[in-house]
Amino acid sequence: MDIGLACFERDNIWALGENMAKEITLAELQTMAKRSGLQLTDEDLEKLLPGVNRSYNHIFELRGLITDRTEPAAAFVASRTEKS
Amino acid sequence: MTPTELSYLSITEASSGLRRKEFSPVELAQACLKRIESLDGNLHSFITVTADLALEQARKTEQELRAGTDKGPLHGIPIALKDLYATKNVRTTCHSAVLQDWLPDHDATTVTKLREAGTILLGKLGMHEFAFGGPSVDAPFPAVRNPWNTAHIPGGSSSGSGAALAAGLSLGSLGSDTGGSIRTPSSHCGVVGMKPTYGRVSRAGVVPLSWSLDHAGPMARSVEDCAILLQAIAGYDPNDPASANVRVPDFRAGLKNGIKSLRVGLPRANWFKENRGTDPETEGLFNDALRTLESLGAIVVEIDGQPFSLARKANQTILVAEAYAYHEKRFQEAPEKFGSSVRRRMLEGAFLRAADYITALRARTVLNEEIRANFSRVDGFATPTAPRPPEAFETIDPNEQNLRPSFTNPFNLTGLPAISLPCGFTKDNLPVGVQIVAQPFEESTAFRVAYAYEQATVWHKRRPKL
Repeated sequence: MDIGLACFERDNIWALGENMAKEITLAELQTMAKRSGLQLTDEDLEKLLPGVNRSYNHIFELRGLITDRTEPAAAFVASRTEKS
Repeated sequence: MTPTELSYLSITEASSGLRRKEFSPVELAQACLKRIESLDGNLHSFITVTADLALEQARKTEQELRAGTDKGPLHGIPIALKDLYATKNVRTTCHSAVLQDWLPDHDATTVTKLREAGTILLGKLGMHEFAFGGPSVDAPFPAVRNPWNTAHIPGGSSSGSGAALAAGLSLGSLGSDTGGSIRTPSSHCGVVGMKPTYGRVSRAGVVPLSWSLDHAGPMARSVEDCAILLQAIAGYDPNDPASANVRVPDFRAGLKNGIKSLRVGLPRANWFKENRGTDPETEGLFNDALRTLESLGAIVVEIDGQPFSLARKANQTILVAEAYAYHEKRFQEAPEKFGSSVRRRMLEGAFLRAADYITALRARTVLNEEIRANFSRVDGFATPTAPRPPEAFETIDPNEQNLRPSFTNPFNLTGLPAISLPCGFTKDNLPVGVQIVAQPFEESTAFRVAYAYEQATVWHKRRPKL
């Protein structure tokens, strides 16, 4: 696929996304935890796994709501004065 | 007046009584302190009781009132604060071993405002650890109990606020709300709690859970008392980057104007039956509340609940990402200091990608637009506050909240003002709340609807047997 401008076409965005696995495995979580500087036991990670996968499923569902024109609900205001 | 009668006065009643010299500020504070001493051993609503400070403030108030200095309706009123409001020289723990011995060197903006309004500080209240997780079984302080039935949870995370008010231990409180933490304990404890519009009340000095979802707000035993508390704490604060520079109206001005022809949106479709759905008894009491609103002249309009249902997913993603980011260093250095409940929930944020967080923020934009689009047809919304009555401690399922609709989350995501007040009791005598939501910065409308309903019903007059 020619990434170029085609990446802005909605169908292609979702096609790229569908290649991502929807479920994280325990082994992947172990690697991610280590990379994040977290000292977590396998028991901790097993307890976390369902919630992490639930979050990932939420993301997939939320992606169905947005288009290229949707901006994040976070705006930096350059004119805001410093804290008093 | 007996000490019990004194400690169960509303703020408006106590304020009048003080000015008519029916009792003194010291007598009022002592009544609350004695009741805390007598009952809180079973309820655990307080983490720190500031008895000496309260009496010192009460004596000062006596002198001030005698000298003709009257600071307004909160002058001499005993209140208590959720233990994440920084309170100068008073231990502020967030119900966590992480901050077990923290003595702030400053007051939160709202704490300063309440002090300047003349309130008497009874102490700092128990909560869910860092306003997240659930009732803490492995925190340094015991979990708060529901005064209606101590085998049941009071709801959270402002659990101590809900319990102390229901038990007559305080006349008013401040809670905080990131996904429902003022409204849920208000519902579960049979009291009133208002999550104002995002930006209406300063978050400065309130330990954050999630910056873009956190709201500070009042809890009390009546709608009018909540309005009085909100009046004292609302207003622009340059120390809070999210503070809204908007006019603060007199929240009590239109309280008694009635709700004839007010259009109330009912987002039942595609939402109330989500997953395990709404408890039938809860929904039955909520339906009765709708009929009461209609009898008072309101018009109920059915609207689509789908965007409200999706809002929970965006809310939770943003919440865990921001909460984890705030605590990341502590989790890397001393994870064992966090309780198991909050650790499990907050650590989910460690595994979200930046793009996932941004996706949730983009979804927030869309859902905010879709939910607010309803305001072309309705003036506000009504829902049950919680999808079920308060659970028993013994049978708590940590996964339960993911399997039922969240009626509170969407109004953190959208920042709309939302108030919870009692709408009945289950056959097991557990409180149920109704939530009224208004347009941005229209807390006055939410109060007006809530007041009309409250005055037409008797739920707010019930007291737990303690």
